[in-house]
Amino acid sequence: MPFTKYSDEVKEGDLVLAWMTRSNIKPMFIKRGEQFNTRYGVFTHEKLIGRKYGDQVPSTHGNGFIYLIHPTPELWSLSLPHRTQIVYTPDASYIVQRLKIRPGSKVLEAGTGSGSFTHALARTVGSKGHLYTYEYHEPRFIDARVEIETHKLNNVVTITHRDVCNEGFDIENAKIEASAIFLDLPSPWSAIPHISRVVASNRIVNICCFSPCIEQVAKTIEALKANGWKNIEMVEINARKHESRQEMVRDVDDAIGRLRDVKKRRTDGLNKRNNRIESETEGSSTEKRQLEDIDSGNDSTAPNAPKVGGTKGFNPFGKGTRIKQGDEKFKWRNVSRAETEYKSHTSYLTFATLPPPIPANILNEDGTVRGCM
Amino acid sequence: MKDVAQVSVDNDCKIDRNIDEVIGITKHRKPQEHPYDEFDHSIIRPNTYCMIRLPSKTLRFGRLIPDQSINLGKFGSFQVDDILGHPFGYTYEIIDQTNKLRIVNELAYQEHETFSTINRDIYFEQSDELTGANDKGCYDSNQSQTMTMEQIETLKKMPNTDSGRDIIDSMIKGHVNFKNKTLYSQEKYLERKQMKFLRQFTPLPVTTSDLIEYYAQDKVDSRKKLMDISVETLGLLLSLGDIKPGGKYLVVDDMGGLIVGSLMERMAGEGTIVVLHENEQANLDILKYLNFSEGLVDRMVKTVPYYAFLHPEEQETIVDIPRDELLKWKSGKRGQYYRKRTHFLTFQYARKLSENQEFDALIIASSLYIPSLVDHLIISINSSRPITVYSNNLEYLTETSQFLQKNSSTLAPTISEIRCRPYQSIPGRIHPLMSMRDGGGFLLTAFKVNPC
Repeated sequence: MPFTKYSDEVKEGDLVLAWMTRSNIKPMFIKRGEQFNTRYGVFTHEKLIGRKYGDQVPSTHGNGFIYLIHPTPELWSLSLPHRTQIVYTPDASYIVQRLKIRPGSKVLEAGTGSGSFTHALARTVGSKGHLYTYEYHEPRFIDARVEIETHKLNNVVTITHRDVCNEGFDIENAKIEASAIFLDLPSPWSAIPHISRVVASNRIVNICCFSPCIEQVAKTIEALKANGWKNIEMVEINARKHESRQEMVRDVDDAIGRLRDVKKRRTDGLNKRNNRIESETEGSSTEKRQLEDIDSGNDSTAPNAPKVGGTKGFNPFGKGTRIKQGDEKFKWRNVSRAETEYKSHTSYLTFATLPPPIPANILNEDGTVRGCM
Repeated sequence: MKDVAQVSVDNDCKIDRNIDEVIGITKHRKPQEHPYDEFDHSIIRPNTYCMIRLPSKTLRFGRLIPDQSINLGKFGSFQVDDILGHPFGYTYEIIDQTNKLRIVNELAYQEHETFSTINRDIYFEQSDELTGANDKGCYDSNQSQTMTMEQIETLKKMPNTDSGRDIIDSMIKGHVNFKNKTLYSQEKYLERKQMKFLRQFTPLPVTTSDLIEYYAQDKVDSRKKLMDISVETLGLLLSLGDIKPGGKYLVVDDMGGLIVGSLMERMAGEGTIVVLHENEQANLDILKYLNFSEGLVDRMVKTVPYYAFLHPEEQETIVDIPRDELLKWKSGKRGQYYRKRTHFLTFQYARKLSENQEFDALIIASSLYIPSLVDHLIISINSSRPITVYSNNLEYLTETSQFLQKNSSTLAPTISEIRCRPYQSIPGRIHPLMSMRDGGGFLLTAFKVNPC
């Protein structure tokens, strides 16, 4: 159960994520005799068995390495084979939080798609809860069913091949009693009327409809209202990442100091040269080079030239040299920078709640209510 | 005098498999868990804290004490007993004078959430398409409303004001330009008046999300107490931290228990949370508002000061004293011994988890300087497990991220920001809200690894 329980050691049959870079994470099933080939080298599964999750392991020829990372639903969403557009972690995390999905919750998901959110939902509901997921596209359904089995989620997830818009959510011999519903369908409004048959009758029920277009949202809201849903609110999630880096503190006084130094050395050099030309009518070629060196600042005797990070006199910012970020010879500041591109729109999330039917034992004859505790 | 050791045996029921037993803690007085599933939020229970949403969307927060009434200010008051045992989520209407409650009927098709309570046909005889109404001839002035404040106040005091609807009715009739307003503007006017006058309320269970919303109503309070965290950032933290039942988590929570509470919600009673704190006692007040029993908190949450966690060698050792010996002691002295011994064993247990690197996540939300805090705690975490740091200041996280980039036992430090943008959700009039809450903090995540 790699997604619902952690293990410490890599064993045969495990699903392991091979982390090469942030954007290159590949799932592998550990099997003796097999090997994992990458441009970072070859990794034989045999040698991975018994390693700790989190180990950095070198390739057979030692020319590269990977990290053996334990799967999580969030990492799975970065490494999974895409069958459809997926629900990414920022949206997924907010939906789980807002639908108040907890261990033990019964949840409906339609459609299954690439199964990314399926994993996150299964992790949270755990073995005491259950996830009923529906997929109408047959090849996608078959792939997802295999995935659920190989990821050992069978006891948490029930997948059904079904077009819920036409056929509803009922499953023979199953008392679904869902308290949370997630609809990622082209026309959620046609699935909404079927929901009341499969929700818990003794508690408030939460729904989220996931649609990329505003026109879909409008139709969804109409359908939710017509079916008694309350507190309808559509929101959008924006998520961005910040890159942290160090930037050199380049003080204007140092910039002035540098130019002052350049100017001084040039004047000094010119004076020296003029003096020499005056005293000697003829100069050898070696001397000429020396004079040129003075011009370009390569004179080790240049006056008052602190050699900071470079070879050319007063060089406070290490101009013309290769500097590693954080080089102790310079002053640095931590800064953050936005990514150059980010997902500015995934989908609109339409939330609503459905109060349960009113039980007869709390109603008085005049229509007022009474407690029942 | 009762035999203390005997008392603890008597109280052994369902709790006997817990960690306390494993590590040998005997409590002077064992705190009790509630006799029902504490994570089941379906019905309204007596003596629990409860959120109450008013038509204005304002949240009120209070405890439901049987035989008492709850006063909602100008919206009226109601008897707690009348809602006990009901499922959460109904909207109730306070009937004037009697203060009896009626559930607002859900069945009719509603243009607005609170709309079904008003007969729409009275006001909207024709749609805009038919009337071609716009605000061309509609001038705002304080003469538009012909009713005076005094008249409205008198109406409010009348016995038959029908839960505020009569007032709204009269105000619309008294509004000179109401008929000239567009349909949408009429709806908005009606909604505004409903928010102000309808005597309705909706009880909701208390969750960490609701507490964030509740404290956010007072901006200063929220920034101070909950470090400005938003619901969406908390949700992302719980996902990226891979919180699930059965986990063992090392937590720093300077939000009075909000983080610990949100973890408990996602663990449903299974697993352990070790909370580190700077003072002698941890501040976890919020757990009480989440209606978690003392027994549940005691079983799941182990609090240890940084001092004891990071410098076990400087702590006093409390040796085991034979029961025969203890029984000769005075009750007060014995209680003190049990308390000290419990602390000692708890610290030892936390140290053991740390030394064996058994923690499944490090979750930090602290006002302490984060880079050095992270530096001290990373070592306790198991490999291939997430490290998640919350801060309301991006600067602290960029600095911590730089620190982690240089640390070979952490992989891929990443700073995330998540913001939820709410929309006006009326078909035909969908647009982002004109103003919303800003802030919400940032998250830094990384994975613990073993470099080769």
